[in-house]
Amino acid sequence: MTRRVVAIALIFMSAACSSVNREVAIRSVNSEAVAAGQDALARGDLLFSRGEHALALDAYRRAIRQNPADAHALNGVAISYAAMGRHDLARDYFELALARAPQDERIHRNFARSLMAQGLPAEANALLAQIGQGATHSLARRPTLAELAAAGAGARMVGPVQAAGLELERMSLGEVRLRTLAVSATRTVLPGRMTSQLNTAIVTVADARGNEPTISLSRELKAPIVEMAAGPRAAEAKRAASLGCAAKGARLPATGYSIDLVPLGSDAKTSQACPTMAGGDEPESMFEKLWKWSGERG
Amino acid sequence: MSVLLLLAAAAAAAAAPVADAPATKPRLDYGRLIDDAIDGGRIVQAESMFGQWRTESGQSDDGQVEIAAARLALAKGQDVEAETRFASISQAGSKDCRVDEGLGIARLRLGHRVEASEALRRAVDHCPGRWRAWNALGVAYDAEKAWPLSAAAYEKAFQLTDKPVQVLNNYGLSMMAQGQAEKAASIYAKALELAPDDRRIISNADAAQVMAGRDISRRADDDANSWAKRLGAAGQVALRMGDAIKARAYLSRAVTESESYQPEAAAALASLGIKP
Repeated sequence: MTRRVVAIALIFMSAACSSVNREVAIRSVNSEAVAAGQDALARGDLLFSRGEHALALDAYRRAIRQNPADAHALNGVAISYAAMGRHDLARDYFELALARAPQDERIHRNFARSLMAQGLPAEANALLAQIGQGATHSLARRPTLAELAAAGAGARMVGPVQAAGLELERMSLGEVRLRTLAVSATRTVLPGRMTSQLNTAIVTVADARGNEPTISLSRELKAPIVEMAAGPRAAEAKRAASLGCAAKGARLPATGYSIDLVPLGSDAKTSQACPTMAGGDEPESMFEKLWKWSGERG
Repeated sequence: MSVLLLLAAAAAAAAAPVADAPATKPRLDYGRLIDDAIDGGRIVQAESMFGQWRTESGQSDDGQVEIAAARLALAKGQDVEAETRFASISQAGSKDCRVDEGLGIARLRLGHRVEASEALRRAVDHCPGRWRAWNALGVAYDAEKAWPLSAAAYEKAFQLTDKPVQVLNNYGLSMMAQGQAEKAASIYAKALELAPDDRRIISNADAAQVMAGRDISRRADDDANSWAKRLGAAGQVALRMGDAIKARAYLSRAVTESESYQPEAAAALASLGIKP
């Protein structure tokens, strides 16, 4: 009797557990988050390639929220900040991206570009040297400190403003415009470029007391000018060479940052070509040049 | 029958994740990568990688994790912690070149000159190729006013380093401490060629110029406020040199040429009896 009751109970239990009329869908609980992260990354890449850096930044940030260890997203936030000129904010994200993908040459090159734009070529070269690129440390003997100290002081200290051009233009009977073009002797803001400052002063020359002329400064305008020091091709080739990639006909994008990354663990040694992105020249290939995630997330 | 089917399905589900497990990542040389990051001043990267390393390695890295932790503390300016960690590693008998160097630098920063010199001399004896140890030893000798020794230490550091600006800056300060303002100005001129935007170098170069009796000049990149700060700092140097006339001139210009209030310059002017 007892056996029969147990058998019936087992039959009912197994019938209740069976799923004859229902399909069981097995899916990862994190799949939606992963998909959202990948969508955000793709959107970030697209927006960045269109030059919409602020929106790209937002998309990359969403991707980081899904996976804080994603080197692609960290690099995306960094290059978005750098493209907006906020190199100070970009730095932490470049470092975090490097921490997650320390062998990725493209993060190194992006970070180096940001450092170069900040006028830190030594740090940029040191970074590139870690991936076997950039200017190598010269083996030639340096002058000694004593030789440098005896070289003569004051010859060239903090680069003074030098008047490189002078122009007078009469504005009216009582006013002349004085234009001076000042060129910084030491500093280059961007590789291959130099900064000048155009100073325009409107000078009023009035005969106040009949015989004694007086001169007064009415207003002064200052505007920075960025001009190419050499031909654009030469500057491009120089920049490309400093960043360790071949310039052969490749045009650098407006921002100069590459957004495509090689996943950690894949062969990161092969890419030597300059990174190109969307931005006008090659619209048909822009999606091909965007990096697609194919590795594991970690 | 249903029970058997259920058991079979459960067994298959349990086996699936093993089959789909991702391939293992290649093992990274975290010790070297963290060293590179610290040497490059990339503290955020170093700290992040250190966290990854501890998670992955556990306790099996022969003290390398401890050395990295000590170096990281030193790089973050946590000198007391760094000194404690380095001393502990040193007492444990480590012969790693980074230990004596780090111990010496930490003690130097904490003002323990004698102990710092001992550790740094040990560091350069065992590892003469480490420019940071030579550079720190130069600073330690400067503190003892042992000028020939400090000059020799800086020279070694300068010939070894890939960051010559740091050594030039320290050597320039050494020259100024010896009252050799002309030589200091030459050294800073060279440093400015290498790092034209380094605020610390610009400031020290201005000090050397004022000490050498020359005026400072405005750079094309100086806006009104940064120029005013440089003028104020030059005024402070002149004030310390006892040149009240020059100090007053610089400080007055700092106040008048700035677009914002310059409290330090105004206070210095007030100390000269001038109401800004």
